[in-house]
Amino acid sequence: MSAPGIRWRAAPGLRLCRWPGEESCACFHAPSGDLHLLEAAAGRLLAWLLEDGPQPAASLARRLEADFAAEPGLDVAAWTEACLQRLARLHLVHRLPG
Amino acid sequence: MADALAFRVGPWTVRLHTPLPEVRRTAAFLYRDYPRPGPEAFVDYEIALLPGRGGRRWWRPQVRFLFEGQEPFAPLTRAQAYPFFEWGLNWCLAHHTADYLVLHAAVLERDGRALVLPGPPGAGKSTLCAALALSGWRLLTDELGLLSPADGCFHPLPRPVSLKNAAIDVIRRFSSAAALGPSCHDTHKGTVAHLRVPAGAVAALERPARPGRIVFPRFVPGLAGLRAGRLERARALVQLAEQAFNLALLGEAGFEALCALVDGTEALTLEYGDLAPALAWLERAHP
Repeated sequence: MSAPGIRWRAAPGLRLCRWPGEESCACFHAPSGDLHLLEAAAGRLLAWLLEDGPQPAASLARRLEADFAAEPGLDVAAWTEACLQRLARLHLVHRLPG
Repeated sequence: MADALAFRVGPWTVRLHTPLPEVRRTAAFLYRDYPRPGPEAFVDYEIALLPGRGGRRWWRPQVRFLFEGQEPFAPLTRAQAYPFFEWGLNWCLAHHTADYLVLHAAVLERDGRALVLPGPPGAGKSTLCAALALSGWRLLTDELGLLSPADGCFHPLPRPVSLKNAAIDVIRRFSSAAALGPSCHDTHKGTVAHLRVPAGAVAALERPARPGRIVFPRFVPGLAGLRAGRLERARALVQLAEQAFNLALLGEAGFEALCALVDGTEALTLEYGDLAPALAWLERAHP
């Protein structure tokens, strides 16, 4: 888990491509030229970070819970954290110190 | 040089220097209808196909491919000389342009709209492409789709269609108008033969086409009927990017061109085991 003061931000040079009615989205990282396919929830996390600026994992998890019908028993906070870690390994998000 | 053959293909002029009679014969047959620039014309791609060095001219003879005097590939056996020219030229065209986003795709046009068939080798796009080109569609390319970031259109680069193995006889049987060069056996792709581009497509070298439909084909041996579906745009975008040779070189301009292509063009998938139903489906699916 991220420490409570840790916020996440989208990497510079990202372009998120979403189309109405479609679940997946594509994310272009201009500095590397890499293009990634993201599933719906991961794309939503990234969109919030791009649109609203840096946020802690806990608030992103709350927004996901409000927007998605999670599987029963799913730990949304842990899932969000794991998703952010995956996006960080792709250099699409970074941690900001508190 | 007396042994040079120059021709205009799409936006570029290619000049092939070779003393190898079998290559000269096949190139003259396959590029029969292409415009021939004069000796003073600017040449974009200078290619030479030369016999192997030293003893490899005679003992297990080899052929060398040179581009602008450099030798980017290891020599191949002399028997593969003509396909080596086409494969090497593909590499030169795909990796040395910044004016177009180059997609690994066949592109054909009918009624002013382009049908784009992207896919890796073995997807069956060349067989579909050859059959469509022999059925009244205009061939823009069977291998390297030139998408212009400037106008969003595909620009023609019609070169001989490379057919492999069973596809050679499939196309020979498909149309008596199929003009095929000699078969070359035992290449790393198996047996290879090239189909000459219909003269009408060569005559329209300067006429680009607006994208109409993207279809990702996949040949499935033994499949009865067809499996077709719609592809999400994000998935189409990523799959197209995987088939782009120079996206990193073009950067955001290339990405914007791909986005515009996907924005304006529905993407479908098609799995097929038989040519005839696949062609009928493509006819119906074209906007």
